Amino acid sequence: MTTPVADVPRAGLADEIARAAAAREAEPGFPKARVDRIRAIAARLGATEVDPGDLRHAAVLLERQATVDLEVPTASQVPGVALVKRGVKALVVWYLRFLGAQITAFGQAVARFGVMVAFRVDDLDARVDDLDERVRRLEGK
Amino acid sequence: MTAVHTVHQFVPNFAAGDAIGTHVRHTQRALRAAGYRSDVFYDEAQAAVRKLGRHWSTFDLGSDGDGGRAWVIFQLSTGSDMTGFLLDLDLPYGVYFHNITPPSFFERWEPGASENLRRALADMRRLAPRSRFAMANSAFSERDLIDAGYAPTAVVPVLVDEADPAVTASPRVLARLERQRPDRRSSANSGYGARWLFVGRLAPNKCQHDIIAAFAAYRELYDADARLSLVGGRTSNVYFRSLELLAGELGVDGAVEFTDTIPDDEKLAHLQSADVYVSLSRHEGFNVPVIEAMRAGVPVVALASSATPGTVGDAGVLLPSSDPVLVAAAVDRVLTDAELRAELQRAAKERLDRFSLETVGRELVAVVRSAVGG
Repeated sequence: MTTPVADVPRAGLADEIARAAAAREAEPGFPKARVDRIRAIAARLGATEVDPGDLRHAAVLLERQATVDLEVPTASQVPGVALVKRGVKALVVWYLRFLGAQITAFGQAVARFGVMVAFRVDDLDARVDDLDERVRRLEGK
Repeated sequence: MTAVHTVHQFVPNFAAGDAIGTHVRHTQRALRAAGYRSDVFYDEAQAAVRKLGRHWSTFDLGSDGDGGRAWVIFQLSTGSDMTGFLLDLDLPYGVYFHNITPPSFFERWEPGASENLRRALADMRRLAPRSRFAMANSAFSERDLIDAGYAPTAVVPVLVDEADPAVTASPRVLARLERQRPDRRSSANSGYGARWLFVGRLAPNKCQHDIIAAFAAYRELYDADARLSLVGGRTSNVYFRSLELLAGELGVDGAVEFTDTIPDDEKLAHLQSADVYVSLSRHEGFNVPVIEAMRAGVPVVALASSATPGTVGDAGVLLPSSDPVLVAAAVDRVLTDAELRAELQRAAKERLDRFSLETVGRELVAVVRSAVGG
């Protein structure tokens, strides 16, 4: 939820900045194509309108999660612990890679299967809807 | 009537460095200083703070519950088995609400996390009918409490750590960040290598993708040598990977640093090196890092969303949208207008006083006392 700009402190300053931004955008030589691309890419990541029952979305998420990330985070809030984590990572990385490659391959195979099933079910749903409509029309005749 | 002297806290996740863990520790101090007996009971705790409390399963109604006379403050932020336990306990309780992120933010990234948030919202509604008082960390969060049926309610800001004189900025990180600044004389760019900073978990509701987009626009329009530090651990690995890909796609990957979780001295180094703090979060219950930025003297540019305007007040530039060109223009204005920066710093001092441990601790104890007595 965004607070209307008129209701926030220094609303006049925000207005001034908005005018400056608009003026900048109207300048000749403004890199419009590049900025439009930035806007489009950010909007793609910002979308939250996802139906929890959306089969295609679930399949795409499965595909994204199928790759096992072997870059284990080693940062820590506790001084010194990051160093220990980096040491442990260096010691076990060969083992993780061996396991990770197999799990990733398995995950990708499952994901591919899931995506195919999801798309096939969606297609069948659409055909059933179409057939329903045709049956209704025929029954009405 | 017997005076009540015991007010315990129940907290589902007790962590060392996060806003809730810090609030719990300071709440305990404030309650004890006011004469209450007060312990902490948790469901999960990080090793660093485990000894500061006990697991809820060890709670004894006789000794801990003061024979049924004790009160409980439930720190409400996530779904937990403690909810059922608290409802079964025959003790009066109130809640402190840290806010719950709407599940929709996590739906496309981490469906498991969005399930947990739905459970948290259900727990919130279950606790409402028997709750005797409720505190919210902001006016924004208080509206959620009222909608869920809580009464009476009060706004008591979250208790935030004050500057710890024992923590000094890491010289190693400071030196590294300074080395990254371009040499003004040799730089071919007209910019000045401004350093942007955001502190907070990498999470879809905090919208680090909008910060990266605005940063890319800023480099394009104002300062090709600018750099961005995103300080904070990962909530969603898929979202994190998407941020890395986004930075690459926009051609700013070499200028964006993801630090992950870091020790306090390194965070302080990032704060001290920052030229501007940018928050484009779309959902915050309070937004503690903007207070940390103000304390470090870093000007704040933020999206006027959820609780952020109430925390920033007039000590930052609040924007109506996260549009990359608008955010870039706001950062440029702040960095090129010395008078504005000085004005923001003066206002920041007042905000820091408003959120001081002493002031907020007094408010918290007053709310507890009015409900509990003692």
